[in-house]
Amino acid sequence: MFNWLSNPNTMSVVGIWLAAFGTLAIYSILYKENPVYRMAEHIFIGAAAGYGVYVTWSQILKPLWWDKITSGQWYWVFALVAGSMFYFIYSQRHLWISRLIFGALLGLISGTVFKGFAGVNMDRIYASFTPVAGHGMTAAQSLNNILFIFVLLTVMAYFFFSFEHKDAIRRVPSSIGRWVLMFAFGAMFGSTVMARMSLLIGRIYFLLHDWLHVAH
Amino acid sequence: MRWFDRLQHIDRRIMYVLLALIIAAPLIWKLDFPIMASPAVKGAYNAVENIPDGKIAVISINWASGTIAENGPQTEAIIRHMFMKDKKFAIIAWDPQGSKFSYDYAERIARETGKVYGRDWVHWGLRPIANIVLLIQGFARNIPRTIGKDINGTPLSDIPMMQEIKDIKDVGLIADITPTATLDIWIAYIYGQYRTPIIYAPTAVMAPEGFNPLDAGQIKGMLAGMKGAAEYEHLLGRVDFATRATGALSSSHILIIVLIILGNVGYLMSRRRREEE
Repeated sequence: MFNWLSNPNTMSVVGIWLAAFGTLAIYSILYKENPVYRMAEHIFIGAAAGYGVYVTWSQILKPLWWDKITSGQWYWVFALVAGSMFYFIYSQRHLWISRLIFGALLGLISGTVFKGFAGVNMDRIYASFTPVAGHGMTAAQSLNNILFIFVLLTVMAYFFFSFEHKDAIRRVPSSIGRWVLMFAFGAMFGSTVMARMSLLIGRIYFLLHDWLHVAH
Repeated sequence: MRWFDRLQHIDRRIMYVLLALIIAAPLIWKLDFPIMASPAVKGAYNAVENIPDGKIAVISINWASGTIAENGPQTEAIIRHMFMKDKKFAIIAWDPQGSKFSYDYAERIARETGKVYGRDWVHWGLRPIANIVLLIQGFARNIPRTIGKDINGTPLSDIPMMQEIKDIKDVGLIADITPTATLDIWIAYIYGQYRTPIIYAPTAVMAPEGFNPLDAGQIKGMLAGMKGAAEYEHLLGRVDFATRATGALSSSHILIIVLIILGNVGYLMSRRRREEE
């Protein structure tokens, strides 16, 4: 009677219809708040939470921790002890236990971040010392580097807060720096719009191509 | 209400319908817009081409269904390119959904191109993103010990293509495909220390973060969102989803620009009329 459930083609069609319903239900909020949207939202949150628990156990905790304990590496049980120590943050009496593990973690993270800071920034600082002429540079490259240095210096002037920007020598570069920052923020916002449009296109393409079969 | 006042108060639902229509039209009637590969995308393409023989690429997947329209085509294009050029690669996933999607993509393209799991590609499975800093530092020193088993539970030592892969010196490229800020982690602990080439495939919203490392030479190239994926498909000579969506992307941008202009015209006209009154 339920043989159709084991047919991958049938399940694929059912999956597409469910996904189409979910997409339209979620987008219905664009018209106004409604029960269909609420229902879809709750189903999504419940399914995502359940899936997250299952995957965390099946792909992380079981293979990377539980299987090791059960195969003889008993010392992995100490990971549970260390992990449990975090939860003592909720106990007034035993708060000090959580501080031990937080302290150890902060020490580890601080050392790691310090190393990472150098790895990320040293090359970028070095790259900011660009030549403005010579080295076989074309006029366009030279102009590009001059513009880069100009923007770099004016933006740094804008973020220089040690004294008030009263006279023109200090005020004008700072003001230019603010303007170029605005250009940069505009470009970044343009990228954000493109990202959001891309996601919308993805869903509309799914509805038109996979569900309704009218798109190429 | 005067016409220029109306321009500032267009019902948002009208704009949503317009947007949906203007996106749907190019997808249904197949409007093609010209695609030219930017230097950033060419840089990524060349980095894949230049993976030395005997080394593998590592594809880092940190995306889920929420950004599949951008990161999906990027993943597909990069995987396809590696198969086309016989470059071996390993996928490591930091998101449960991304793990499944990337496995399915690679398996499908491998079927199309006649590639074999374990010989041409491998999936290292899912790892918790909270441990990414420690894990990539570990894998840089000792891949078999840090990764242990693949997604199917097979020890790396039993996988043919992993026989000679010991540490980061055997990795010729890192491809970071992500909607979040994982790039700096790869730069900090891999490029900064070992100078392993990196390419970056972010969502468009994250793309501005890639220009600094690109200018500084810390990454070899970048695919900015769906547009970057379309440019990469263009270099591969393929017409896949990102290329088909380019028309819809361009027309949606045109609509938004028109709406911004109309809103500003309405605002300026209203202000002028108020000043006159």
